[in-house]
Amino acid sequence: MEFGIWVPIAVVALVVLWLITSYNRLVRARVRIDEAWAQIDAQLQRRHDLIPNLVETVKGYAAHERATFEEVTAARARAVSVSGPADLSQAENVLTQALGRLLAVAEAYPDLKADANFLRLQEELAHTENMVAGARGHYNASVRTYDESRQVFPTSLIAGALGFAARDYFEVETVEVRAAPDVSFG
Amino acid sequence: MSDGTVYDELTRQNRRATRLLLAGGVVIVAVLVWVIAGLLLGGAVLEPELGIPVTALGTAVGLVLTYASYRSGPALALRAARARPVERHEAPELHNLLDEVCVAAGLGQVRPRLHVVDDPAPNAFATGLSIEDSHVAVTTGLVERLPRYELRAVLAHEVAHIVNDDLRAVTVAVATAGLVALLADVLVRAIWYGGRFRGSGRRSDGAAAIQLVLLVIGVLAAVLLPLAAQLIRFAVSRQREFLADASAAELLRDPQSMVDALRRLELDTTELSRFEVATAHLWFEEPNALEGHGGASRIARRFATHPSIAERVARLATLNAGMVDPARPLPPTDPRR
Repeated sequence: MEFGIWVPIAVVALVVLWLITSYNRLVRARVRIDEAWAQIDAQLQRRHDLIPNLVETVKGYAAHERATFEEVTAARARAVSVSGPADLSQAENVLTQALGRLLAVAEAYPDLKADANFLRLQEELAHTENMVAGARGHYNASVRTYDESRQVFPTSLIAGALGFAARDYFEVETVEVRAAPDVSFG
Repeated sequence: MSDGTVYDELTRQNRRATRLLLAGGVVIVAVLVWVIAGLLLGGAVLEPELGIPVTALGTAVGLVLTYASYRSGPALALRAARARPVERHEAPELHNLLDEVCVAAGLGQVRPRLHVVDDPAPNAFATGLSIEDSHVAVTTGLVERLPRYELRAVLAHEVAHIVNDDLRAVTVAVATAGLVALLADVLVRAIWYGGRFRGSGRRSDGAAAIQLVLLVIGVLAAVLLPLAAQLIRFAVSRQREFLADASAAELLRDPQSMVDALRRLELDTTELSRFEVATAHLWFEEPNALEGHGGASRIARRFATHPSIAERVARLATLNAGMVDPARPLPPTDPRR
């Protein structure tokens, strides 16, 4: 008699407990994605801030390479204006290609390559590209963790109903910048 | 990276090793306390009414002491290595590298503090009890000898120790090994003084036999248990090195740099000018010289805090098959220096 009452109560309690833990796990994973995205945003911001300076420095030695400067400036303007993983990765990839061409142009000017300011910017850019790559890696790992917990049975039964939508991966290329090969104490 | 089976296996081994360490440490401490109590109180400890509370109390006191030394461990380690904090303006590129590693690890705002040890031997270590209060130290020799990306790989290895929660486990292992050494010392004294006190006492033949058995157990325990504690400590430390290598390579998606850094350090024979045996486990590369072949070096390896570099390279190559060439010529360091 007693027993017959307790069985359904225990089952309901277990289901509620499972719902709470699954929900919390999904929320935590989603918060991690948002944090990782904020980090990507910060690193891209840093990339965008560096470009005008880089263009100015190269201009000082190679003023007639106007087409390349305009391409970089336009690509940067577009990257600054868009948002969201899909649009942004497309805009950033265009910027990456333009940056690659700018650095290739710089290769042809020995005086520029020896310029102290340019060398500093090159290390800055190498660091920034690595930061973007690192932030991207962490963001994609966070999306993967979230996706896994969203799709795994039985959580997959409730994820959609509770409004945990799929998230986009962020695929963005970075420029291979030849950083100063060694580190020293300044 | 979706195929994380080998990595997961390493993580599992790591957790198993930690449980073994904690359980083994507590058992060793309890046995030592019981034997010491036996020598001082006589055969009465064979009675559960006395033996269990006395042993439990002694073990608890020991574990509290261990906790205290665990808390002060990181500060002591930094002092023992003579590490000094290094600010961003002193070494901007080194800070940049640590930033790159931390962003990839998702550490964001909390970042380990960077320290430098003035020593020509290339090496590094991490210490701390939590991510918020963690420290990474590199020697000046490491910064001078490693190219940028290999230096970053070493930093990633140290950050991986922090993220994998190794610092706490290893600090516990060291504190426990220290407690066992202390108890073994107390035991030796108990055997010595215990024998004197009882010399004038009245006792039955049965009690004498129990005393003799306890004495034999005591001598054996005093010799063997500290050894066992050290073996556990070193095994734990070695296991975690593999995992930190693997995590660092995965973190940066650059296993080749990790392999190259290890190979370059193997070629380097500079020894750390000052290190304490007690902190050997902390370093990136084993600071003790363990050269040689045959039985002696095999035994030395059991007491090594780190697996051999060849073994570390081999594991990385298996883990990242196709992405790593363990025989590739090492990239040159900057010819300007």
